Amino acid sequence: MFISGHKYTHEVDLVSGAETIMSTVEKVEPLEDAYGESGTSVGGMLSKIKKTLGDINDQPLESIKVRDLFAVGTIVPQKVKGGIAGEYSRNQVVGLAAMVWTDKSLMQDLVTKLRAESKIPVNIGGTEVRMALLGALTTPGVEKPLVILDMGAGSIDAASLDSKGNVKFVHLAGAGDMLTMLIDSELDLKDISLAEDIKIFPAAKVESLFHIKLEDGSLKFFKNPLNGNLLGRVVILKEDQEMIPLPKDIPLEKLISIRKDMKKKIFINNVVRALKRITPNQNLRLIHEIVLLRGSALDLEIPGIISEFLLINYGVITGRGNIRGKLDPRNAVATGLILSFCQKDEEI
Amino acid sequence: MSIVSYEPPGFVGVVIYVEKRSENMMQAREVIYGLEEEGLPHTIISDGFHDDNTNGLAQQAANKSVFDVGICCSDNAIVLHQGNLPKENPVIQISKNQANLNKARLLGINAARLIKRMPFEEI
Repeated sequence: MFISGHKYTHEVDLVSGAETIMSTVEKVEPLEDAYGESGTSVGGMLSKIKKTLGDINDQPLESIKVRDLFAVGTIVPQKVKGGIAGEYSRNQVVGLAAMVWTDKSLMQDLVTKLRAESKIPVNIGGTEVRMALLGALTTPGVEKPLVILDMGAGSIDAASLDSKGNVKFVHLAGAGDMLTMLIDSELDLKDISLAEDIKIFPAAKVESLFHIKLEDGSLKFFKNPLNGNLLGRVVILKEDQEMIPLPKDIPLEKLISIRKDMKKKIFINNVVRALKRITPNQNLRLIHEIVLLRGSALDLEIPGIISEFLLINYGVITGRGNIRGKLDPRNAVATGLILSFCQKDEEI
Repeated sequence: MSIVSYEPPGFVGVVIYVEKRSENMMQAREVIYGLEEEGLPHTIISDGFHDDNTNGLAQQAANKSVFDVGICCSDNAIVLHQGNLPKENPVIQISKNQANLNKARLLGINAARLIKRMPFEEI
């Protein structure tokens, strides 16, 4: 696979592992493009992403570039070919997430189309980053200067706003969806929606027809007996008391540790990478406070993992966005848009 | 045909009520094989009970067992019951027209797994 920066193009062998790929990406920063040899899986993956974006906005493939890469090393069970008893061996693999970029903005097309379809005036209110910053400022107790971490499904965005109102931001690849994929492959589920449930919801073990053991070891009891088929299984506890049994025999402890490890691997590495790019001298200690936004901030572990890591290593305080004091962190951009519409003159 | 039980003397394992007919006995034997595969002791009771309701008999059996788990092979059905469950809501119930020796053995395996708190085999 080839990673090109402003001046040089480096060739990296995928076998050398995720760390080597990441250090090369850091070395060439800013990344201008990345591509793989055709016929290899990485080549296929990168050109498929580029082609998808090219198809959406009618741009030639050459003008679409990979602007960020994130690699994670993981272990995947692979079936031994020719094995008589269905043996599996554990193989080292590299998970890759890429962010593609094009000069042309898709937004103008969307605005034109929305205007035509809905007959309601539609305007572009501002960049997502600024809106998210505005929204994050409505969290009680948050003041300038601040840093936001916007962790969604596909990307991690970090933005800083200093006391004078200057904004610096960065978009990096690798977030929620990559986590789902890694959980799926590490547990060999071959079921993306189940992996998504494992990522989001807590797990438990059904110990008898009347009680389950939760992740933290505490017991939960039921008045009505549970379904006999759940007995002895590890289940995922969804919101409305629904229990989804795992099809495979994965011990509860293993499930929890894999889920946590994956979250740490992706989010800690990526958050540090993102914050280093927006802070002066790459010094994270200069940050005062960080507000976490978007879907991944609602996860049961991710905010805790990030907050603990940043506090111990850099002394940075991290909190989940509490938009307008009552809404969850997914509302930051919407709130920011409304605010900026109402107070057009006030610059952030 | 005689059914040999392997439990230590005085120990009441999984209690199995069997209505005395050769078909029931054969199924009960498969249930016991299932229990044995999983290493659980059992106790057979084949007379001295009066109830037309298989579920009720299975629950009575469960109440006698130290494991609180009982099985009844009657003319109508094979039922696996746990003492603290509602009478009409047994763990597993196989009606007679669906029952075969293989299912009877799986029911025995699942009775043992209920006690061992392991996932059930699919019947």
